[in-house]
Amino acid sequence: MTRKSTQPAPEAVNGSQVRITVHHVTRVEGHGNIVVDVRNGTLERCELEIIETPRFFEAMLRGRPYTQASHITSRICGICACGHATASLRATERALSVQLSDQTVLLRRLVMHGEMLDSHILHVYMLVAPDFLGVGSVIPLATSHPDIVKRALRMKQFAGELCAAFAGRHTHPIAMTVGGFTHFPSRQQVEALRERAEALRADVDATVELFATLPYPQFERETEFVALVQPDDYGFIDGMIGSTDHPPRPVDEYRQVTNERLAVHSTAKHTAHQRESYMVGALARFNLKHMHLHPRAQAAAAHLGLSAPCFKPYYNSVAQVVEIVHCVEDVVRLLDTALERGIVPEDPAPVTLRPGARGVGAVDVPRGVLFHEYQIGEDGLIQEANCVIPTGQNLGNIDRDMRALVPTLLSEPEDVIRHRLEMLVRAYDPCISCSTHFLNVEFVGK
Amino acid sequence: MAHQPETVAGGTLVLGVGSLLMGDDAVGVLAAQRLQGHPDLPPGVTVLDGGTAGLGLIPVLDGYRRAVVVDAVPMGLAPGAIRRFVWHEARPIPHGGAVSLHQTDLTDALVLAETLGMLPPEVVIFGVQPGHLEWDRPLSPAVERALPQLVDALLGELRSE
Repeated sequence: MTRKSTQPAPEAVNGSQVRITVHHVTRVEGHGNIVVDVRNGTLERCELEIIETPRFFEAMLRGRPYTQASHITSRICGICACGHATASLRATERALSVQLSDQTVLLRRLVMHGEMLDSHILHVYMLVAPDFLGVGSVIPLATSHPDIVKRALRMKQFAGELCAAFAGRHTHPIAMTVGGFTHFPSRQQVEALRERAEALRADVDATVELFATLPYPQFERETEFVALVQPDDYGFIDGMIGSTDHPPRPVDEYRQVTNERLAVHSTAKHTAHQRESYMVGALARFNLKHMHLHPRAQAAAAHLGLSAPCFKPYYNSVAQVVEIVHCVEDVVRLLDTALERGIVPEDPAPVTLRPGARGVGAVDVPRGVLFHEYQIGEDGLIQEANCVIPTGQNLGNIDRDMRALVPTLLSEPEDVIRHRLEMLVRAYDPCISCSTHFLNVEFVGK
Repeated sequence: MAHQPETVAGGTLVLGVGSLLMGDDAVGVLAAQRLQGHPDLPPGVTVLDGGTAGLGLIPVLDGYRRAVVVDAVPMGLAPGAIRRFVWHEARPIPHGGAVSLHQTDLTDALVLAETLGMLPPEVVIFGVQPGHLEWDRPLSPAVERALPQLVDALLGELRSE
């Protein structure tokens, strides 16, 4: 279901009631509307409507062999395909007691770093930067700031090739399988990637310099942050579910964190843990485990004015820039390890089928923590599946940020309010297609 | 998108684009597959399956002297009709890239590449009028019949300078 998109149509009712309708907030993935209703100076309604059709991937998995799950679920998203595949594989592997080799763990990490880089570069350069550089999209940005767009494309290309070297291809990876990989790059390929990763530092430094100059809105609201945590590591795969409000929980207890519920205005479910809502994503990860960032990433955070705890949602994009620095450094380190150990072709680790096997896979993908849970029968067919997507977990928090933000903006012209709200939603880097699975803004009175 | 081989600086790139899952949108990719390894393919020509890579196609195009792009193009002709046109004669209607980068298409990629000075000096497009663009359908009979003609037309183009 998509609603016909309309242009922003401000309608002044009187001094205390203004009706503004904007359907289709752009530069986010998927379809949603922002609705703001202020009557007689009172905020009556302020929410992100999610109107995209649910996609029923969980139902598609039922009755399918476990070997197909990662390939089917990677289609949930064209940006986080590797993240969905990895969460899917981890759910299956944990259900079927698969013990991964150190090499598989290392290669999976490289793939996730590639995806994190690709997604963050896309978001900060092509979706966020136009807001600050006074252009409507990446196409005019290419005219006004060609060097910036070329740099972004160069960095994205590296990220995509990193994923492809290990996962066969970036979008919808093919070489990752239950228990391991079906393809291994040559030593020369790995050496070439290592050289390019190191050479990317100049672009990374230029990225930090660019984003350090942008005037981020300073709005802040205290909330709970949730991310995967690991001892002594800024990792993205496995670990415990960390929270700024609660001791870490095992990933098997994810339902006690997510507590999914239906929201009337959204075809994506909302979640709540210790408060009415929580936030996942780069800022949540930064707040929970900044101490494990690479020293260059920590220096970048200081230069960008980001310190923990940070309750400013617009700074999620800043945290993404910090993660770009971290990932490039970590890729260099991981590739060094791979070269030192040598990459040896190996068979996938074996599975143990048993009745009613159940497993949870958790991966901190670019937009936040992603859970897949499967129940697999002794015949290897999936009996039950559940996927909890990061954007879904952020929706409640976006609503509450908007409710806190709008009253501070009522003296501003409507165009400013609208733009600020769109920027807020974009800061969360929502992937609405994944969570239901667009964005329109509607104001009703002010 | 297929893995990118070494760029032949100054050479010709044939780029078949589209989705194999979307009926006649597959025609560009299928044409590229038929050209790869074709005995009549002139030397110095790189053939790539560009899939649905969108903006990812920009770095792929950079460095070639000539690009021959093959894609399903709705032109209001009979299904299977093939039309050759050069990029500068076409009137691109970019999506704008503003809506969502999930939706960037070939036109956006070409416009952006041109703006950035990364588009080969010569870009020729072979458009094939699709009959249908639905999920999970094979090529329509008219486009299936046009495929050998398309491959011949591309080989003819590649032989010409």
